[in-house]
Amino acid sequence: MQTQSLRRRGVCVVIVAMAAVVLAAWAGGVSSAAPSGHAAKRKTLTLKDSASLHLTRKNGNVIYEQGTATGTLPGTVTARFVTSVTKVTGTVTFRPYNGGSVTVSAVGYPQSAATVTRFTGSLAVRKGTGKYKNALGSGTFNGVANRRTWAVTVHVNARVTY
Amino acid sequence: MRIRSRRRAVRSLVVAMWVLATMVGSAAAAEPIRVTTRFDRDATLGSATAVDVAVQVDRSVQRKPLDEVRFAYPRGLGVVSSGLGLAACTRPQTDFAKVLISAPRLGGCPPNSVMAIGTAWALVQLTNGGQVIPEYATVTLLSGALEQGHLGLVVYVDGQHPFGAKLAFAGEVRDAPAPYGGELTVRLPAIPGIEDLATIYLVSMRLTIGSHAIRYYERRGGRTVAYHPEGVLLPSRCPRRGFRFRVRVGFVDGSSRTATSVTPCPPPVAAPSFGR
Repeated sequence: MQTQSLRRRGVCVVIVAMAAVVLAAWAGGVSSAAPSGHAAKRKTLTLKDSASLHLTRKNGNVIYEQGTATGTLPGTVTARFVTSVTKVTGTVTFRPYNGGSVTVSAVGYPQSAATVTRFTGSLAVRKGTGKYKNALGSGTFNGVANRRTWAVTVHVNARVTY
Repeated sequence: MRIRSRRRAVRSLVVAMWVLATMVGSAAAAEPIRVTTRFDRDATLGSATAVDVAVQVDRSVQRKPLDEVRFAYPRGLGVVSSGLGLAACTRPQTDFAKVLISAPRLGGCPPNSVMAIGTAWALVQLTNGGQVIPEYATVTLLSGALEQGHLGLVVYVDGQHPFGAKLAFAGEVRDAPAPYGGELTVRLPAIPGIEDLATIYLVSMRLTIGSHAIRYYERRGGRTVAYHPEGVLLPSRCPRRGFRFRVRVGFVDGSSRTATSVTPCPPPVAAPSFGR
């Protein structure tokens, strides 16, 4: 009797284990299929914009700017830059006239210590709103900054999925 | 009875703390290097100010020639975002290791590269005879070229009396780990023209970053116009425990001394009053 019950228990354990493996495999299949299905729905945008920014205020080593963008996403732009000795980091938000917004994190490096200096850098698309909700991507930028007035002209090249 | 004894205990505790505080104060007074930093008297949080830095070398270490001076400023202080250092002073490397006999004003550097001005006292010990003569000099800190990972600096020392030697020293500004935002380094190598004749010991130095005496020039309407560049920008919020500065002085024998200074927070900008 005892051996029979042990056998039954063993069979049950095997069945449960097999069921778990099948379930796991099915779940894995679903989860691995999910992103590709989701990715198919995502759109890709090659962003080529030029923005002209002007200083709105300073707070210690932080500079706040705003302006307008022309190109793929024409609209308004706001930016917050943290300045340090050799680089500038910050977030820039593009608000296209046709709705939504795209926010990028940027790291820029000035090329000289002159009043009007060129800079280059890279950016990561972090988030978006409206039609650009869940926006992600990366890119580069370059431009010119006037350190007397903090007027900035920047050209952005980025690939955005949303 | 209990209340009286408690009062006595509190009194003795206060007296003990006062004695300890006095001891700490006197210990600080005997520090080999002392640094004091100040903002403008009317400075407010969120506004631009000059930053006055005074370094004093105690007699105990005065007879040790310096090799390097490092000055770290607090994170959040707007040095790069200020209106200072809008031009680069680029001097040939050979200028940094000799006495400049005939140097033009600012050593030939553009006026828009001036970041700080000040004075220094040094002791000049003559090799022949060992006579010690105090020398007074004006010091100008100039922004240099932007190189890989740092901004160059030039320190122009214009000896006034009695020797009047003009010297240029190279330095740099780099980002610094928290709680500091950046660190200025000035290297002070032995100058071949001087080291055989005399040894120079720094006694004190005072530099005002963004001094109100600094004048920049710009073209406006076809004319060159002088203006006072915007000083160092203070954040609108005060860092905990005030603005912390640090000076590290390195000597030629390889030793170094560090001193810190905490500048209390200036008041926030007063709200505009609209009358009654």
